[in-house]
Amino acid sequence: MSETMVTAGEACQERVALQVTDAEKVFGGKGVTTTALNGLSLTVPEGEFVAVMGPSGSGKSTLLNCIATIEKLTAGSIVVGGKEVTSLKGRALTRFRRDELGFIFQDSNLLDTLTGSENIALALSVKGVNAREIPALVGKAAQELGVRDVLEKFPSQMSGGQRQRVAAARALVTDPTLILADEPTGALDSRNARIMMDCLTSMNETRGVTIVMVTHDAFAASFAHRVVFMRDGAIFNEVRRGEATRTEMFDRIMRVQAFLGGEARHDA
Amino acid sequence: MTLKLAWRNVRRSARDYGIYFLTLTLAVAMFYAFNSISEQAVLFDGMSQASERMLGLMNYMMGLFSGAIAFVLAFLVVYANRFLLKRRKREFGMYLTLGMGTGQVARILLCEIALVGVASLAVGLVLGLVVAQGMAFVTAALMDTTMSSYQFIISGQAILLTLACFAGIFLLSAMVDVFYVSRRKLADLISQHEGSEAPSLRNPLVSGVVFVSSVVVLGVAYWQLKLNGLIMMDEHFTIATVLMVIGTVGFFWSVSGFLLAFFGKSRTMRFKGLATFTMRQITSKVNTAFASMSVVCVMLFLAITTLSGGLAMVNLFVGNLQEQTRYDATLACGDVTASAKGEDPRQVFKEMWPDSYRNAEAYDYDAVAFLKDNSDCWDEVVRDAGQIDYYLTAATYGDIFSSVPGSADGVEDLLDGQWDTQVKVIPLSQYNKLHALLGEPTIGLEKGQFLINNQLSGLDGAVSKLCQGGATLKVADETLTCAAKSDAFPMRTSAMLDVVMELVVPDSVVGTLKANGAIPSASYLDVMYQSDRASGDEGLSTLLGQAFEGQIDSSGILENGASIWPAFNVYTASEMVDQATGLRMVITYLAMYIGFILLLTTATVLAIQQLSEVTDSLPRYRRLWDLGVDARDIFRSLRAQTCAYFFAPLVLAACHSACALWVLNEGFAAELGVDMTGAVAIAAGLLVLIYLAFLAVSYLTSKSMVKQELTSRR
Repeated sequence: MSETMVTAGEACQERVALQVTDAEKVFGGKGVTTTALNGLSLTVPEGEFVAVMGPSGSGKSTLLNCIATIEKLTAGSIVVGGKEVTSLKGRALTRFRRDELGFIFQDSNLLDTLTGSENIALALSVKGVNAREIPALVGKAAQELGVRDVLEKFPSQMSGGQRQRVAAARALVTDPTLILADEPTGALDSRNARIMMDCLTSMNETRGVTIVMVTHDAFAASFAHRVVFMRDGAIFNEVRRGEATRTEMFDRIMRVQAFLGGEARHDA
Repeated sequence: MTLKLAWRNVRRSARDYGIYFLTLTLAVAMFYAFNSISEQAVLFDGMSQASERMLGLMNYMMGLFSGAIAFVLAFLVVYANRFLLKRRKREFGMYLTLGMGTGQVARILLCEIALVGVASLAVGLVLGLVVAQGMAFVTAALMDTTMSSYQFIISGQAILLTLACFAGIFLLSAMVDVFYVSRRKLADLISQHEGSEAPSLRNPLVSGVVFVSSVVVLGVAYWQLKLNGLIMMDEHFTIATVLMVIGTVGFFWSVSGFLLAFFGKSRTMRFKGLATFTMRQITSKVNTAFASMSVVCVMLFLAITTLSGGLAMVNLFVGNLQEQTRYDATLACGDVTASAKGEDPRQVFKEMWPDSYRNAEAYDYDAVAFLKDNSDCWDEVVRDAGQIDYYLTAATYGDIFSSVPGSADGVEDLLDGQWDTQVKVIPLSQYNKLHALLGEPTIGLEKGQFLINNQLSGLDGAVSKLCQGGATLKVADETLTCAAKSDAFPMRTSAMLDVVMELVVPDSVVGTLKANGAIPSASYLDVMYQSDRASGDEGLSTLLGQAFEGQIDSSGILENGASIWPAFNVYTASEMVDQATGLRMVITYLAMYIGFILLLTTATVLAIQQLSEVTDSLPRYRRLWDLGVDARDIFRSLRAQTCAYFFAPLVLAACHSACALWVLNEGFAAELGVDMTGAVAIAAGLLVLIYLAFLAVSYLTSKSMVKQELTSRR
């Protein structure tokens, strides 16, 4: 496995979309404390598609929440698009979230009272985008993700896959610096999962948008340029796809997972 | 175990139970306080018989309306309870999956209801006791009386009534709850997504049609109300009521679909910040809650009209009190000879009242002479007195109005039934004697003229037309012309202004009538006392007792009248004042009682719905926050939703009330010369203030709920 081991520091000379340095996150008060992030560092250059994998409790969701500014680091720094986010407060924080980030969650997180197009448009209108430009932008994003024909439906009238793609369109439409995806295929069957991952890949390729995706699913992760494995709040290993095919990538991921799983059993 | 679990549940869902508890406590407190008013009266100094009668009336009316109020409160309690149940259905599902039977769950629920019920009853009664003490002072002020020795009064009767009423309500709501839980299937109870269906939307076209029709229906209802004039319960009133209910329900059913259609057209509005989200939230809420919003609207309407109508009625009874009680006392023989047209008053009087006829004939219908002769204290009691006699003529009111074309235009309703009534006339000398009695300048009347004396302001216009048009009146072969100026002079002491187009003629005309054998068909003796009114009343009582000794039972003669000439009835100024202030109290309290209970109910229903709506929407706010929407914008949206939700029923209810009160003001009240504007302004202001307070509390509570959601960990 040594050929796939690359340290985070030597990653790239290109512009950096996300830089996490010595991140530490401790939950709990005086009595029992849990360390969710333990000195984690990660650099994601612009245009990269990174998957974060790891067993439950490895801290991957915490990492995502901290990048999303939903939670605050105990120590360390997170820089997104050249902006230090850990020092942001109040309105600056929400503005940062609005302007720099796009979210895709496992449960799609669409507003059930709004139609597909209204959900996508909302991301633009809260940003204060000129009302005249909104319909065209919504149409374009919907086209890219193949959800044009469900735009006038309510989330409850869509299939799970359609919901996820509408959510992806909503995340994409504002041209964010970084799209954060939390188990985007978690609630999907394999066919829809594949469509979803193809969409994310094409978003990444055509728009050049940077994606950080947390997932359990080796299949979903195999679409990424790089897979980062976390354990006990730190990065334990990473796999780069390079010139390899997706199937080869999948095999590599499976090998790392098998190793991780085996080690876990020995520990027990 | 059950009790322990119930106690733990109540404590844990304190916020949910909080609204329920608060509502019940306030309801109990109001219920007790209003029902105990009459018993507080033992504190008052010098209660007259009239005041006591009024308190009796009040007690009776309160009892009557408390029945209706109990229904409203029962609705409220059952509603609030159902809301709690819905919110906790997963918890009940959990009990069932743990292997409890539905009976056991129902028992837990019963215990919870009983716990909260007993607590709110206890707190409510204590609060009611305190409020009632405060109200005793208000009552004293309303009745123009004092309390020299204050003590804390506990009304056992009111407590029993409150306990019985609320025990019944709790029992009812417990039955509804147990029924609800035992009928549910386990799967329903534990399923997470109740509201996962698409938001209920209406077809824009259907909405548009229904909206326009409901506005038309409301217009027709208003028009029917105008035709009815709110004077009698005729078919117009029934139609108006039915149409108003239909129109209101239709309005709320369709309004959001209608507005949404318009909203969708405007791109700038749709894509401005959270506008779409806010609009969707409001419309989905209004669509699902249109029925309860209609109920709320109708109840608000009733609250506004009851309160302002009631306060206006108070004006009606008390506003002219000064003018109605200028004479210390009036001995009345009103229309004792009233008869069908063509009958001879003398014949009727003689047959119906032989004793009176004998007395009157012996003294030539001179009441003063009779009383002086038959008592020994006239000069001690009475400073001066003036008698006024009404003589029937062959002419009718219709004849007078016919003599000036167009004079009756616009007052047909008011004259309805009076058109064929025979006109009675008063001799000028008697009329001027009354002026002298009150120290007013006397009136001159030329030969061949008659004077119209009218205090009913609804007829002012018609009267001035008669004066200017030179209306004519034919009395005993002589044709009289109307004097150019009319008068508005009080003829007697009475409960209400009741001088309606009374006609004064020269003495010579009455002389001719008398020569033809006419006797007065009605007569009044206005009396001014030597002393103050209280001791004057006593003196008058003694005097009348002496005058009718051996002929009637003289106890309570002032209150009940002697039923014999010349004092068939006796109206003393002090009694009229007591009655009027008593009525003022009765009406004020009734209006407040009904108005406030209705308001409390509507506001609570709205607050509960608002909070449940916010609870359901918390995940949505969380999503907005995650998307990077500013908290300020979220709160702005929340504020818009709360306001829309509270104001929609208020605005429609205000429209209904404005129409009803306008009709009332134009018709009934204008005719009686009462201006309702002031009363309406006070009542509306008070109601809106309370309503806004509920709105503010709902908004602040919702805001803190959302804030907590936004700052909590995922």
